[in-house]
Order: sequence, then C-alpha cells, then structure tokens
Amino acid sequence: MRYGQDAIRLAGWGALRPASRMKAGMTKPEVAVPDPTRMAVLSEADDRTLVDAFRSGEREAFDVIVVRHRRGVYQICYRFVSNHEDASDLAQDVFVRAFKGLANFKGDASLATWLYRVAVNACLNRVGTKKPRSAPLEAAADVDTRTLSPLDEVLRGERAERVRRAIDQLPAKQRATLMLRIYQDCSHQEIAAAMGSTVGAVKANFFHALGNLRRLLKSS
Amino acid sequence: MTNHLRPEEFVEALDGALAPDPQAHLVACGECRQELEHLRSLVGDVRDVEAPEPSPLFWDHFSARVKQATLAEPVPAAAAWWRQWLGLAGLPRLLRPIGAVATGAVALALMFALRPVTPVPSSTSAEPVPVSVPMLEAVADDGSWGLVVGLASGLEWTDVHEVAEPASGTADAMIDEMTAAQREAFVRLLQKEMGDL
Repeated sequence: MRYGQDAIRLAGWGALRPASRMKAGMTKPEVAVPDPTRMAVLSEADDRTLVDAFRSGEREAFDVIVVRHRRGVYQICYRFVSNHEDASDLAQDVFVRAFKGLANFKGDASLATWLYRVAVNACLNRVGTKKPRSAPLEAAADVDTRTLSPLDEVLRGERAERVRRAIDQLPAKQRATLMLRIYQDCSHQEIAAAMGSTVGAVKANFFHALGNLRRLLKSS
Repeated sequence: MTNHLRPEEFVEALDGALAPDPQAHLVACGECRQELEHLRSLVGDVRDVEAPEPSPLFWDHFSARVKQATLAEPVPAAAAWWRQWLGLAGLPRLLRPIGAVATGAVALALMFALRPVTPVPSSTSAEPVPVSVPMLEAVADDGSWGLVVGLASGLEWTDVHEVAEPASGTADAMIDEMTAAQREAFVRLLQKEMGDL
C-alpha cells in the first residue's frame, strides 16, 4: 500500500526523530518521549495516514489510533459483556490484537470497520467461553431524564433493562449485527465487512434479531 | 395481498431505502405497515438501552494500559511489495531467510536456464554438444519444488519452530557449494533485499 506515503513526505515527515525513523520490523520496544509537535500533527492526520506512519515505525501513531477509536471499541465490548470491568479488559485486548495485526490491514474498509471486526471477533470468542456477568441498571444512569416524570423514568428504566437482558440472549451474530447497526451506526456494507459476511446475510440477521427480540420481550 | 415484504425489504424500509415496487406494496398492505411499525418500535427500544460513559480519567488510564501492553511488541511492518509478490509476506520473520534462500536458488536456476547459449570454441574436432532439456522445465517438473512452495505458503512459525530451525552453518555450506557466478548473482539478490529492509 503506497497511500499516504506521499502525504507523509509532503508534510515534512521525512525528518522524523531517529527513533521514529527506525526501519519497519526493526523497531525496538523502547519508551520514547512523545514529541508534542509531532503528536499534534498525528492527531490531525486521517486514519490511513496514521496506519502508514505506524507501519513506518512510528509507535506514536498507534497511540492516536487508540485515542480516536477507544470509545467505539469499548462500547461494542460493553454491549457484549454488559459490565465495565470485562468490557475494558476486552477493549484492551482488541487494541493489542490490532497492534499486532495492523500490518495486515489492507485498507479495503475503513480503519474503524477493521477495528470493529477485531472487536466483534474478540467478543464472539469471549462470549463463547464466558457467560456475561449482568450488571445492575447502571446503563441508564446517563440518560437525560429531565423531561420525564418520575413514573416515566421508572418505566423507561425497567423497559430498558428488559430489552438489555433480551439482547443478551440473542445469538451472538445477531447481537453483533444489532449492535453495529444501531449503536455504531454502521452501514450494512460495513457490518458485512466487519463480520466477514454478505450484505444480504447482514440484513437477514438484523431482521431475525429484531424478531427474536420481540419474542423474548413477549415471554419476559 | 400475498407478496408481503421479505425480511431484507423490511430492513430496507427501516432504513428508508425501499425500492419502488415493495414501497407500493407497503402503501397498500396494512399487515406489512403494522409489522414495520413493530420493528421500528423495537429499534427505538434497543436504541434506548444506553451503555454507560466511562469517566475521562478512565480513558487516560485505558490508553496507558494499551501502551503498556504493547510496549514489548515490535511495530509490525507492512510487507514489502516484493515480499507480498513472492508469497513471503505470510512467513514468520525467522523463516523468511529460508524463503529468501529458496527464492534466490530458484532465481539462479531460472537465470542459468534462460541464459543465451553460445557455442564454446573447442580446440578439438568433436561435435558440439546439443543443448539438453532446459532447466526451466526441469524445475517445473520437480516435485520437491511444489513441496518448497507448500512449505513457504502454509506454515506458521508456532507450528514448526521446533523442527524447522535451520542448523548452524547450513547457509554457509550452501554458499560454499556455489560457483563464482552463482555467488555473484546471489550477493546481488541479497543486497537488493537488504536494501528493502
């Protein structure tokens, strides 16, 4: 992939600090003090430029990637495991996997989609091996309820909790599809890329997820 | 109405991207409209389930944790074009020299097979020796080459590092067996590869 190389050169990034100019694959795990100016430039760079910079040996580019995508990745993980502790562990694992695998990122999809794919795979593996701990109704804590009456607030909270528990019972792939579509606002194409599936299968999964959700809510 | 909307069409309707024909059906079919309303309501319910927003302090801590966890990892490099083209990109780093040597050996073989054949002047009156079967064909027919290709494309380091680690001195022995011309060509190939690293 040559994209971004010209941009790096044009932006004057050829004059990087020696540690950052170490050849790819030869970079030593050393603790470097981030150059604030360089970090400011990286913070403004688009994802693809960051990926190129990282693959050229700039470790700091990955720090920016983490800052930019940690919330989305954490949210996916939280939706799967329903508690903060496991979600933060899982999100950290996702970024470690991403660090190791970014060399294989082809750039066909966006970096966010690729990270979501890593996250969904990590979550599916986790769900397959560990039953999620159900958290108390902390999820609704940040909802703006100023316009609701106290009774409405209670009813809304109860409803949200029932829905959350029903979502937890969905088959993993349906749950992943539902989350990526509704919470991450991913398009069907992006979900297909993230799940290694087809757009048709994604739409079918989404439809069946809603159908199963309705059945679960009726029975609860 | 019997041709109700199919699942993917309901999803398209939720997205407001329904094609004209099913849209016409939806306008005329109360059953499908009701189903669509149910689905829309469910989507709203799901959207209402909020995930908690961790504190800003958590994010700083999280970034530090990720940095710490990746500190011992080398920055992985994108495979160079020539490595991707030669199929070496998927090889573990420690096996790459083996792949490179194999590639170099094949390149040498091809070089010698395709070189222009000039008759060697002879001081004797013996008939010129006819050119034998080209080495290229010999390489293509060589079953062991298929084995080398299979090894180079499908192996994981974790699977084979116990048995596939090259014995000390193997490369030296191979180089000792080369002719001067082979050695010169091999040095050029290695210099080219080292230049890309």
